[in-house]
Amino acid sequence: MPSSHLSHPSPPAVADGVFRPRPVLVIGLLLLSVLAGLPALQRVDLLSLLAWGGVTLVGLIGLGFAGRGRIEAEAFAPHGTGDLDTPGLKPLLQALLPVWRTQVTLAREHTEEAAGTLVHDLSALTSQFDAAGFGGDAGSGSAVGGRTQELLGECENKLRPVLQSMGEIADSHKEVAGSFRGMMTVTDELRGMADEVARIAQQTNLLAINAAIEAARAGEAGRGFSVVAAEVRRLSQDSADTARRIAQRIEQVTSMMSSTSAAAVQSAERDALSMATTGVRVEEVLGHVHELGEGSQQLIAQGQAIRSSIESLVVGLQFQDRVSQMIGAIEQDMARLGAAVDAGEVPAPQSEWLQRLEQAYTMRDQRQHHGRGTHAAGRTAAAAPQAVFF
Amino acid sequence: MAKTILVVDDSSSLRALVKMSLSRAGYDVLEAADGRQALAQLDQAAKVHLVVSDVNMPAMDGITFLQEVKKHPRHRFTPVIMLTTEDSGTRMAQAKAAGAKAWLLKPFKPPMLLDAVSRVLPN
Repeated sequence: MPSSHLSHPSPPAVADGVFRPRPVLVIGLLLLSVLAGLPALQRVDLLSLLAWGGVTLVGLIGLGFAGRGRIEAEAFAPHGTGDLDTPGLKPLLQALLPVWRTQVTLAREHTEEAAGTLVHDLSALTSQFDAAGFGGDAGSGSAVGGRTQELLGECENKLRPVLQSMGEIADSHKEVAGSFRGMMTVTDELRGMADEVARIAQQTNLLAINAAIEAARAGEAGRGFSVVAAEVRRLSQDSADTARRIAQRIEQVTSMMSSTSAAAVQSAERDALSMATTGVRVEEVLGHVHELGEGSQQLIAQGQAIRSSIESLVVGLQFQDRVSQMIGAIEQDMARLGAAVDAGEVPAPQSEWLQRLEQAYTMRDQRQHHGRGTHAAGRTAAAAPQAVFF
Repeated sequence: MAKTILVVDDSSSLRALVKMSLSRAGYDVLEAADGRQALAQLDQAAKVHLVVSDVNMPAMDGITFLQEVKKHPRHRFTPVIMLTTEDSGTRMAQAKAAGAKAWLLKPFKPPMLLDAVSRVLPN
C-alpha cells in the first residue's frame, strides 16, 4: 500500500543537530499567542499590538520552519497518493482543521481591526498636527515655525531702529543744553558792554560839566561853547539811560534764558531717564524675541522629528498587510488540506502540494522560509527595488 | 483645484495609510476595496487623475482591474500605479504589459509614494 505523508512517523525534533519543532507544537504556539494576545488587543496600543504580532509571527515562522523539517524528512520518503490509514487520524484532522482555520482567521481579523484603530488614531493625530501648522514635508520647516521666525525677524528689525532713534534724541538734548550755555556767555558779554556804555556816558557827563564851567569862566567868548557843553551833557545822559535800558533787557533775557535752560535741562533729564528705562525694556523685548526665536527653532526641529516618526509609523503599521498576506496563504492551504481530508486522501506527490503553496506566496520573506532549496536560493537573491517606473 | 486619486486595496488599514499620506499632500482621495468596487468608482466619479492599486485582492485582482481600466471609455488614459507586497518579476511584467506606470513595493514610505505620484500624474 502506498504511503501518505500524513501516515509517516513524525521526524525527530532534533536531527543532525538541528531543532525541528513538530507542527502540532508550533500551531499550538500560534494559537496560544493568538489567545494570549486577545486581552492586549482590547487595549489597542501599539506596543501590545506589536508584541502580539511578534509572537504570532514567531508562531507562523515556526510553522514554516516545521514545514521545512517535514520537507527534509520527506526528501527520503516515497511519493504517491495514499489513504488516511492511520486509525483516528482522519476524524481528528476533520475536527481540528476547522478549529485551526477559525482561530487563524480570528487572528487575522483581530490584527486588521487593531491595525485599523491604530491607523485611525494616527490619522487623527496627524490631522491635529497639521492643523497646528506643523504640516509640510520633512525637509522644510513647518509653516508655523517658518512664520514665527519671519515675524520675530521683522520684530527685531523694527525694534533696533527705535533704540537708535532714542540715542539720537538724547544727543539732540545735549546739543540744546550746549546752545543755552553758549547764549548765556553771549548775554554775559552784552551785560559787560552795557556797563561799559554806562561808564562812558558818566565820564562824558563829567567832561560836559567841566566844559560848561570853563565856558562860564570865558564869559561872552565861551557862550557858544557853553551851548555845546550842554548838548554833550544831555547826550551823555541819554546814553546812560540807553545803557540802563539795555542792561534791564539783558537781565530780562538772561532771566528768561535761565528759566528756559533749567526747564530744558529738567526735560532732558526726564527724557534721559525715560529713554534709559525704555531702552532697557526694548532690550528685554529683544531678549525675549531671541528666546522666542530659539524656541521656534526647537519647535521646528521637534516638528521635523515628529514628521519623521509619523513616516516611520506609516511604514510600521503596514505590518498588518504583510501579516494578512502570510496568514491568508496558510488559511487557503488549510482549506485545501481540509478538502483533501474530507475526500479521504491527500494528493501526492507532496512536493507538488508544497510547490502549489509556494506559488500562493507574494513576498520574498515567505519564499525564503518555505523550503530548504528555495530558502537557500532566497538568501542569495537580491532584494527587489522599492520603485520601478515603466 | 486638488487632483483626485483612487486608492484600491483590500486592506482598510493600508487604504487609510495611503489616504493619509496623499491627503496631507493636498490630494483628494477616493477608496475601493477591490477591482470591482474600483471600476464602479471610476464609472461614477467625474474625474480621477490617478489610480493607486494593490495587486492581490479578492473579487477582482489588480492586474485584471488594470486591464479593465485600459478598456474603460473615459479612463483608459488614467495612469495607474501598482502598490503591492508582490515582488514577483512575473506579476510586475504583467502589470507593465497591461499599461501600469509604476510598480511600488510595500511597505511604502510616504515620500516614496508622493514622489511616484508626482512623477506619474499628468501636469
